[in-house]
Amino acid sequence: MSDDSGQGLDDGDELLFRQIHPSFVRDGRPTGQAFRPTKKDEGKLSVARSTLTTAAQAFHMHTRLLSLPSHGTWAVSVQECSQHELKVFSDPLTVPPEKVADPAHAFVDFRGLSNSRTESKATQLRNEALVRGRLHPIGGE
Amino acid sequence: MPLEALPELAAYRDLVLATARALYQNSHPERQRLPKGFDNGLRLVLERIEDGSTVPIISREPVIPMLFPFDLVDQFENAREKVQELISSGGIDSGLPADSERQVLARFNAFGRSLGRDESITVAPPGKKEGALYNREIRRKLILRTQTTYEAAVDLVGEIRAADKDADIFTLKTIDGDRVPMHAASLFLPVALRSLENDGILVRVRGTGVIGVDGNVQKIINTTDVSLAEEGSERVSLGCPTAVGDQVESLRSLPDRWFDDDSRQYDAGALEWLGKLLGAVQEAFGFPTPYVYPTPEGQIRAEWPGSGWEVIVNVDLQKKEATLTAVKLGSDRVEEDHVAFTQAGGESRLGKFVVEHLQGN
Repeated sequence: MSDDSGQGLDDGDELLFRQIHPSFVRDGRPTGQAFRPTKKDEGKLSVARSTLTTAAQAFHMHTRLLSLPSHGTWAVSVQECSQHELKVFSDPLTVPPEKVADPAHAFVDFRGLSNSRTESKATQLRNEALVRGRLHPIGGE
Repeated sequence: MPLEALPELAAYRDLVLATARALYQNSHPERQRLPKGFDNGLRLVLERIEDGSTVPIISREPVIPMLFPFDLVDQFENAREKVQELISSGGIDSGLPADSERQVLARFNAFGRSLGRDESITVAPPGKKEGALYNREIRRKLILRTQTTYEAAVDLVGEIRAADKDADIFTLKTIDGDRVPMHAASLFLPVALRSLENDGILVRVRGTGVIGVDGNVQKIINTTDVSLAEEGSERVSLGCPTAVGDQVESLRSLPDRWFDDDSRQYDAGALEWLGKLLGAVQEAFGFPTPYVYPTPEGQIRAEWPGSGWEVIVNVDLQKKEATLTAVKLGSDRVEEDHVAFTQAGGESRLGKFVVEHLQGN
């Protein structure tokens, strides 16, 4: 992830794909922590832009190219982030320093938020994603 | 197939038909009218109920090509695909002109009205089981893209506080404190009057409600049942279908580095302690089963969903402490508390925090 924020995204309909760890889904319901950055993420929640990739390609990138586990691709829109007062920035990844280039990479900006505010916004983003359902693979849990 | 679900079949047909009409008009702008008999090309039948399952399979009945133009047959499959796309995307970028999009999205108001909290419909290509999952939340989202309210089956518990016998209008005060006008036939008058005349008598009202963007029931337009509420009705809420003990037990199988290099296997004794704690508090306070997850930091996280408040509890297994967070959905409001289970009353504080916020839903 780059140090500098890229261009802010303003197309409200653009979807932001998020890969969710299999242990973060219980009976088909992802935990809210899947939509908040971990301590190592430094306030930046990694997502992939629907204008530059697809739900299937994002899943492939995560599981095959990066060899990371994923329950599937879920999504929130730029507009939904905006409704919860979260900005989204493009953040294309290049080689080096990354192992795999990802021009579709972006992040939702949680920097500067308190733990409780982060929890609140992540919970509400998860609920938006839950309404949309898992986008890839389609069907099943 | 439950009898009450049969109207869904007709509503789905209307939805696909409306979509087919929109697609046809979009691809034939020169035509003022649809081809004669257009609607006859779409007939849906209950094909079978799978062995060992209660899932009914609905299919299109093939039409006789001699009696129906082949390109119109395709039009209905295209419409089914479009409906599947709309459900998958939440209605974003339908590819239809704005007027047509509004007409199609409005049809979702009739489709899925009877869906229960844990029920869904899969809209899939012919012969396949995998497709777009349609549930109450997706339906709400689709309808609210073009209008400010939607209709859905409601099941409320409360007291009758006012009645207009001439107009068949009653006012239900729900256990959440909302006042909901309801139109109900005089058939239900005796039960309603019993609640009206006696404080504390709860009734259960089922029917079709008009629901706003905020999720609140604005009114009940078609009341199908008014009956005395069952004991414990005031505690109805959402919950995980898997018992809390089984959820906690399942976390034993997570190995070292299950999430990243720093994440560690859970201690079996600590998990056993937590399973007993959550089970005991749940039984004592009667709240729904939480969803239980691991965290990368080695804590356990329990979440209770709700329509107004969502409660999150992060338990530190080593310190036997928990951070309690309640998030008011649709707002920035957050309430927090911290409990130590090594101190007397810790379990009660946890139970009280969860119940108080879930009852505010």
